[in-house]
Amino acid sequence: MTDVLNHTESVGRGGDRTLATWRQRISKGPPLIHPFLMASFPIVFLFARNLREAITPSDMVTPLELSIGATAIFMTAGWAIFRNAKAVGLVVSVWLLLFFSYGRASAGLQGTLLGRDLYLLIAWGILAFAAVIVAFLFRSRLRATTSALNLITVVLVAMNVIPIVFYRSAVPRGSASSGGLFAGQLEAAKSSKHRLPDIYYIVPEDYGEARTLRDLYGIDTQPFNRWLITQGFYVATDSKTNYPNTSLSLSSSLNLQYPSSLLGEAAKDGDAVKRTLRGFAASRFLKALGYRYVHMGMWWAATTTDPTADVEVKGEGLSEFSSILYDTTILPALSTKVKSVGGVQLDVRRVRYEHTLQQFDNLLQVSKLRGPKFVFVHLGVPHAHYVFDRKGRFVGKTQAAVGTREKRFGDQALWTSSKLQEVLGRLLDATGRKAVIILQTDEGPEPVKYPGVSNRGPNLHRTLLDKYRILNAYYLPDVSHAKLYPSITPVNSFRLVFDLYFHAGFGLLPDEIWGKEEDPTRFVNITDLVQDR
Amino acid sequence: MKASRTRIVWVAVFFVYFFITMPAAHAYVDPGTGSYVFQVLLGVLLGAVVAVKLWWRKMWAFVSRKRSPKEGETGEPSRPAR
Repeated sequence: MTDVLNHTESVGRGGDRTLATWRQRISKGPPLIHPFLMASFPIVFLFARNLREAITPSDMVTPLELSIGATAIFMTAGWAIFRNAKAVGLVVSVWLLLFFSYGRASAGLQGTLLGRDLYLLIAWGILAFAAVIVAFLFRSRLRATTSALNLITVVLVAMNVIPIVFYRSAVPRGSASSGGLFAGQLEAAKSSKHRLPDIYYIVPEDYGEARTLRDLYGIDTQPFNRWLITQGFYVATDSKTNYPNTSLSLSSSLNLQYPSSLLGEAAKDGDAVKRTLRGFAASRFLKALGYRYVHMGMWWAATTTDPTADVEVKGEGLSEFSSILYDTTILPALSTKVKSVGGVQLDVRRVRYEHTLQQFDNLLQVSKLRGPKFVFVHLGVPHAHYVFDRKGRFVGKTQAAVGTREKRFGDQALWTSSKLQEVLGRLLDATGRKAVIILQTDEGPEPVKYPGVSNRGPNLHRTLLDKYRILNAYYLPDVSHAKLYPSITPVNSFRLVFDLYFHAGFGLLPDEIWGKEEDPTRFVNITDLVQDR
Repeated sequence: MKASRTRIVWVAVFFVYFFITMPAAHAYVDPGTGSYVFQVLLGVLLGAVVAVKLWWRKMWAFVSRKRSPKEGETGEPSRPAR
């Protein structure tokens, strides 16, 4: 103690009290907080990195609980065995870093010899063992190391917590909804006499359109389209999406208007657009008419849940946030041997497979709910992961590595069309053919990348068509199909349905197709560019 | 005066960092491996800088002793042998 005081005094003479205080604290022994901060850092980092992806702080809760809880258990067990908290803390922090970095290293080294799980696991094992040896050898001299690790981890966590605290969306929460914008139409709908048919809005993610699927993936989905027509569906054969991505496309259909009209300048902000997919205009309009709003989202964070829904049908499995976090850890490499822990499925592909099947089952289950209901179903197929073969059998990681991405997408798309046919047939029967069904995909197939309208290459027109053409089918019982037309776009879907059934007086908007140039915030009207020649 | 200037520099560094690393909107949650590696390296660098600042006297004393075995030449107080 005397030694400490002397030392502190000597520093104080130098006039640097802050350093003296720090030295004094260190001499007493720094608090052991770095393992817990290290357990939080990768999770907080991922959240801060994706603030604009419609994720919520609740996405972090379970991963943080698990990570910090497991760290506490390791620390306690290690201390009970070795009786040296600082050495145990050092080992746990290094192990945590290795645990949360394996997936990133594996992805970065993909295609190289070291990128193979066998070698990378050996390398990670050696590093983990080295941490134990170093901690053991220097176990009596870890004061300074502990302080340094505390400092590093505080900085790492602070670098990510600060942006989270100060982040403000371009549109405040809840204000993206159009408020009383459709008050006149709502009044008209309330005052007219009409029945309230159940309404199903089913969106298979990135399904595309039959011609695209035939030309690019060699699969024939025309039998499904013909089946739809024989069942009484109107298939809009020349329909295109208003936007080449999910959030803008869904925003235009669910809010009955172009995002630029709804959000103004904020429509250029991806986060603001994603916020319009919760509590959207169609659901609020129908709820005001007495409907129950049933929400059934996919793994994508923007439609996973909708807090404004009356009934939320949640699938089991990891959220998008947890799934990406999981992929960065060592668990996927270990899950080839360990399939589940305590009943929790570790294989993300298996989770996606089962969740998709569950979505189709749930669609039929909710049809049994009493009273008028509006059901929004965002199906996760045929978008990746490609986990279904043509007959709907599970495709594991090893099988998926064989063949091209196009082949895997084609197989999953073909299975999706046959499954949709089966489930829609049962849904028509279950609803006595009295429900309105809109089957509409949001954009073209996922493997087709949006080319950008400034790319004036020879294949621009063809690639734009592949991306913009969509399946857009309507089952509208007891009303005339006279107002339907082949080139109807998603922005007009609910406008038309609400006018036909509720005489709301929305009218139709011009069917405009919008693209983007190099500047991702600038929308360009390319309606003429994507017309069939 | 010097301390306040240092603080201003630190605050400026933080603001520049946050401006540069403000996440862009993607279609999906992005693991951001590049930023992750960058942050880990930055954390280690900052830790190293502060560690040097905290213990540079000890380090200097250690280096000086290596250069000259005689005590007291560096003007640094020596710790009693145990």
